[in-house]
Amino acid sequence: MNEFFRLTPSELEAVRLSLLVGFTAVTGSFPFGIFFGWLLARREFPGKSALDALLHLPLVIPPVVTGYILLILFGRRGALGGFLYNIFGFTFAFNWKGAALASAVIAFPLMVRSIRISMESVDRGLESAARTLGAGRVKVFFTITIPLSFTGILAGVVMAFARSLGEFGATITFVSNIPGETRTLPLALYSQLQMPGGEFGAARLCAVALIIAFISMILSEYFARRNRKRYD
Amino acid sequence: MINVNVTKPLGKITVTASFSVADSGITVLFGASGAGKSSVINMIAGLLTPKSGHIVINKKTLFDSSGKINLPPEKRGVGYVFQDSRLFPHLSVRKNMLYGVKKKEKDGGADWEQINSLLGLGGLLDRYPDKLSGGEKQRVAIARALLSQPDILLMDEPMAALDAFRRDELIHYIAKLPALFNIPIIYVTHTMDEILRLADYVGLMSDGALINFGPALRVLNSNDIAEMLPERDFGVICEGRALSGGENELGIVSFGGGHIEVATGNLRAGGRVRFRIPAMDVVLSKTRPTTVGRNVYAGTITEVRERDLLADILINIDSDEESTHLWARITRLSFKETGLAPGDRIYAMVKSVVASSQFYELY
Repeated sequence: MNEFFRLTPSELEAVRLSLLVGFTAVTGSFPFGIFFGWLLARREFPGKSALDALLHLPLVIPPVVTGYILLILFGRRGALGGFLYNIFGFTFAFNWKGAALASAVIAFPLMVRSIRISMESVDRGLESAARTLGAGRVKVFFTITIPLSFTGILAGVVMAFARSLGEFGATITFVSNIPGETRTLPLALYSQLQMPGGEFGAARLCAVALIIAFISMILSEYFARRNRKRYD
Repeated sequence: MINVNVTKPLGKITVTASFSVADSGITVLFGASGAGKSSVINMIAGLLTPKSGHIVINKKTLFDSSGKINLPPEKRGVGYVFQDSRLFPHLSVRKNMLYGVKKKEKDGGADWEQINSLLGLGGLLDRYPDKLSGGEKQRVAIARALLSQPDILLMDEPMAALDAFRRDELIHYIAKLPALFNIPIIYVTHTMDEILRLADYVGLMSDGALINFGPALRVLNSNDIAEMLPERDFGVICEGRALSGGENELGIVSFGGGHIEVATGNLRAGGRVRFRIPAMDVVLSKTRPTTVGRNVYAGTITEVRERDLLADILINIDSDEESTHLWARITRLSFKETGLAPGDRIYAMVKSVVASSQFYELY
């Protein structure tokens, strides 16, 4: 039984890479998540529903399509990718940062949705009360809106992290399946299944993926509940 | 100094209000729900933007549609106590109170001790809002607003969510505020009780329009308010000064019409009191009555209004001081039988027990 959980170095590498990709994806997209969550929760503007639909697209289109679009945009000769490479010498192509970008894009709708809902649940009356006490919009945002939706935001972040860990289609399309660079847990699992006699390793990775995902979902649900309960 | 002149279309009604108040008393906006009272103070607070007009508080222009001035709420220096208190649930009472305090004075400034002891908040400072009663929440909300050192305090039905006992307790605190903090208050309510006890000025709102505005007694005795009140409440409202009072002692109050005795203890001798004498509780007699009852006033009938089954009779009480009136309501039938007419001499009687039910000490 102990043997079963002793991961091989390459499997360990995949787990480490998955966590790094997930962490980077969530950290990098968090400020955008807060911004768009707030924008959709608190502002009215023309094209709001179009923006809402656009942000939700990665949830409904095939991940392979997302990966392909990323390849066109951020490939070394892509519209944005070429610019980044020529000016900053930075590229997403075929490295773990690309995997993080793919995961971030795929998980973004879940993050925005959760942040938006938790911000919408903050009583606007409290925000106006804070304004009458001399607080400008920025102070109100950081001292009232964010703290009161904090656990909901956290739930969204954890959810996005969990989704990142499961990302497969966009990643393999955008940055391929390079061991130690872009071979995250799901990709390693897929590779194992492609190999004769790899079922045992695949089963182990399955178990690891299940455990991480399960813990994440429990955490996410816990935060979401706490947010609802605390200030109702 | 408050100078407000605003117009704002809101759904079916258009809210229009124009009034000014020179000193720092309590101005009560009174009217039915949906009459536009809250909209007026929301416009003063900057939470609602008028279509046109101007708002000036203490020479500071908060809004002026012609000069294109529209200060955001945080720049207006306005304290607002909401009906639902709106304490920040994630902050302790102390942090709630300090939220509006300017950075320089983290300890709450010079007013901290005074506000704290006036509102009796000492034991609550480390609690969180969800552990407070309704009355405590409102006291914290008042303290929080005052500590932000506003130029004006707006209160939107602050007692609507409280039971009768808590109201009674809170109203004492509120009544003391103008004198202690030299701050004008605009107070929104649809409860007669609160007006009688608090108002220096009264504005009546109906269907969005401010239909009458002025010193409390004048507006409270106007025909406009008579139409807004339940039948039972129709009557005259007077102010006087307590001559005596105390435990187990009849209160005696002098007012324009002479003296009135009330069966209430606990009046402070020398204190200002305001009271209502409901028209239904005034008994009339053509001759000086010899029945039991000590509040008897001689006067002249000046006006009679007949409608349906009732006749409302306005009596001008003989008095050396300013003219004082009483309304008496009798049935039209008995009015016809007595043959009374304007100009006739009459005696009016008020039972002490009746008068005491709506007797309020002012501060």
